[in-house]
Amino acid sequence: MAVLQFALLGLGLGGAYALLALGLVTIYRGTGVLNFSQGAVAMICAYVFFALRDGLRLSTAGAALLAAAFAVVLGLAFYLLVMRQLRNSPVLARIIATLALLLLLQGLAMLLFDVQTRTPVSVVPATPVDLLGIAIPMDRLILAGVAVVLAVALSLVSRRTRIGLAVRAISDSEKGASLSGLSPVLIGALTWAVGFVLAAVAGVMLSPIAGLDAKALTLLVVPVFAAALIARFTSFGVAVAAGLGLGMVESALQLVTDAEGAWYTWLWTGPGRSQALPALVVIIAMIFSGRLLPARGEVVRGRLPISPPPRYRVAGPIIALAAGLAFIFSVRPSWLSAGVVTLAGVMIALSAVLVTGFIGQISLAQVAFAGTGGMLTALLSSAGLPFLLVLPLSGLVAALLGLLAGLPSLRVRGPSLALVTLSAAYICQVAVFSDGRLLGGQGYNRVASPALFGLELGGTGFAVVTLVIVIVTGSLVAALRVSTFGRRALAVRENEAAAAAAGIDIKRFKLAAFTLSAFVAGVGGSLLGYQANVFAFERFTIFESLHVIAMAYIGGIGMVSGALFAGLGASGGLFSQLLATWGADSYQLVIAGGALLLAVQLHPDGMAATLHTIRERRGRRSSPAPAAAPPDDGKDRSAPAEPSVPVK
Amino acid sequence: MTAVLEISGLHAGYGRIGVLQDVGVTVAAGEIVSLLGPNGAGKTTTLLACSGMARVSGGDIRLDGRSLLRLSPHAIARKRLAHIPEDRSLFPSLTIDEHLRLCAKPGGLDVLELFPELKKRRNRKAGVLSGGEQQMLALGRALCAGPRVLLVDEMSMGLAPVIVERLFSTLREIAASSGLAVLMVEQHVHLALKYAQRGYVLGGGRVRTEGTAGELAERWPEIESSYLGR
Repeated sequence: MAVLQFALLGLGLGGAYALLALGLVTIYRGTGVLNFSQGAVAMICAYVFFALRDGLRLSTAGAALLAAAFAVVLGLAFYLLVMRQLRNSPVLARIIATLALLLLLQGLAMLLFDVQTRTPVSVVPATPVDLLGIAIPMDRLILAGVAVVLAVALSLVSRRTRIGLAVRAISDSEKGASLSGLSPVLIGALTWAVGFVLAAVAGVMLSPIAGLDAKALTLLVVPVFAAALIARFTSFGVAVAAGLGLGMVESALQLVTDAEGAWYTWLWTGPGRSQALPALVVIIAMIFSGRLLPARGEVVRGRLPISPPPRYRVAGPIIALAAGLAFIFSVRPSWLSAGVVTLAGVMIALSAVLVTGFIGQISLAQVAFAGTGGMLTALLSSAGLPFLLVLPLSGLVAALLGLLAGLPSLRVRGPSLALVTLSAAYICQVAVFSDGRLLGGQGYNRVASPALFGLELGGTGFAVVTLVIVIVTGSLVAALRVSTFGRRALAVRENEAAAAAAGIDIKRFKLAAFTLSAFVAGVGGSLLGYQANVFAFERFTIFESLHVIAMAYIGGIGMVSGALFAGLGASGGLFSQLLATWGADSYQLVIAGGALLLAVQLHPDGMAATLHTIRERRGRRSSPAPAAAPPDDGKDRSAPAEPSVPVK
Repeated sequence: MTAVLEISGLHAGYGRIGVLQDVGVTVAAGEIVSLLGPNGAGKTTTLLACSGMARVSGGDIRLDGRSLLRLSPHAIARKRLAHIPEDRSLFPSLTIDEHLRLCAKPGGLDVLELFPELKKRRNRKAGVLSGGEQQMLALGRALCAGPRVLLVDEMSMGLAPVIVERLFSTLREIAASSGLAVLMVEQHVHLALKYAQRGYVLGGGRVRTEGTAGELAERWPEIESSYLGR
């Protein structure tokens, strides 16, 4: 009976999942974008609503109307100003844009609202009603009911009306739709507005049940992706059923996971186990069904960020070493530790360059690999192992995890792989890193001070060692790019089928890239641990993962310089330190999110790529022999066979 | 005869790449005009420029005397210019019926009358139709909106000769009876010259020569050697 009661109580959470999933499906159908900020939108709208109702004492109806209007404006603005401009950009650029919105909204919430978790009074009556002999608060039933009603409405609109037909047509072929006189902009804007309003309803109705919490609401996107995936991003009915089902199962699971049991029940009891379930569903569903996302004919096969061969392979490291040493020996301790955090950030971003830049596998799990390295560092260093041994060992264990995380990439690609890796990182975050029973210490574990050959390294010494490690790794990554491995990796990235036909073992390549990159990330995490003298789980959340990949992307994910940029922007790194000295730390998320949005607009291939293109063009202009003037007779001229047509 | 579609002095391309230089083409009501030329000559680009999908950097494109420049593709489509691209751009998950419901306009043709074989499959999704049926649907989707001008790119591609002849003769009947102006790109020269009244030979982004279908057919060996480099 208790199981049934918990399951029914989960209807509220499930209803919110369902509503958010409906929004995700709507947006995906209309514009082919996986909106990672869906949870963040629910969060900000909930804050707006409760600020209007409880702060400004507006009536519920008035606040609801204004919050809905806010959601509509936000959706329209984000689509028209950002996503529309990125329609022909690499898939990763569009994912990054939604991540940027997520960061921006989180930053705004923290700036503008009191983000202490609280439980506002419900919008609808919460009096218990009797259901199957169990008392269930009415608000949960209403939330689930609203989700079902809206799903039915959306299905009807989609099947019966011309607008619904038009949305389906556009998700099949944007070009065909334009040629038939349908405006992709109008329909795209409509789907984003509807998607955001659905998120707002979910946020406002869920907060009184689960609490108004900036991070928790933003993280809803993971289980919501699970529900949308089960619905293959097309069926509204399945999305709602999956959302409700996941919410109920998750709630019922609390019975199991909260129980104290023998040691061997560790796997399924303990913190975060029930939350990890939807993420697990995503991973399993993806692996077993291969390509679940329907490919959008023209849009998915987009361009890839460029990855030019590195230019300064000798001068680069030397300059970096000189600049780094000069920095280390001239700054105050607070800046020194920020410098080391930046270096560790560079390391983690280098791992993203390896796996995402070179071989094209979008991985959002790099910080989870780093966390694994950090955790192991806490374990091994407190067991008395020396620094020089702990570092590679931490990397190796992370590499093992990387190998495991690389397995799905054999079947899943593009944005779907981003989802799988995000889910894996989420599981690490909620169920592993913060599980005190693993190392003791509730997610915080001391890391012994690093020592080299019996000599304890001070802050300066450790900084020098870190600098050397990062420069060596960076040089190796650059060397890898111009090696046979690098060329083959790029071939796999550009066209898997063609690479396979050319005799490249794609599986081995992908697994090697994941393993190698996880090793690098693991060492980076280990360095972070030594830097802070503690392993702290909150440094390895999926937000950090998103932050790193976004920064690396803007810097240029196919290049070592991109990693450098990401390191500077790493939280706790030099950029944060700069803001802190100006007393502006609370603006960091807003600035990061806003800058990302702007950067992805101006440089959809990354800033380093823009520089590279400018340099190339200048080089071409100044070279004495102009590139053969266009032949006049049209003889040996191979025009682009399939011109990439920008559809307005 | 007044021109329905009038392309004059057109310069167009993609991004920074220029493809067309000073292209001039006219199509009158009820006329079928063919664009001929080797790969990369600019035939497809000419069509894409008309429907707003290539960047136009000079010249003008007029439909019934009104310029189409700076209009977006869907706005051009609403001015009754239909375009069947090479890849057909159908909606694979929509049924035949849904395609027609979405695109039909008053004054459009009854497509199911025109192609009875589509009638039998009206509730099938476009993705599962045969190549010939898909091309019929593409043609039908264009015609059901009652266009003034129809642009057709490589209608014959990948289709059996019987079906190709059928599609072309249907098109010629419609053009003759309804005054539809057709501008088509066709690789098969004999097909192009058999069904079109006039033709333009493009090469290297310019119009090399033009004439009636009969003249072009007569001069074809000479055209091939002097413009097409064979």
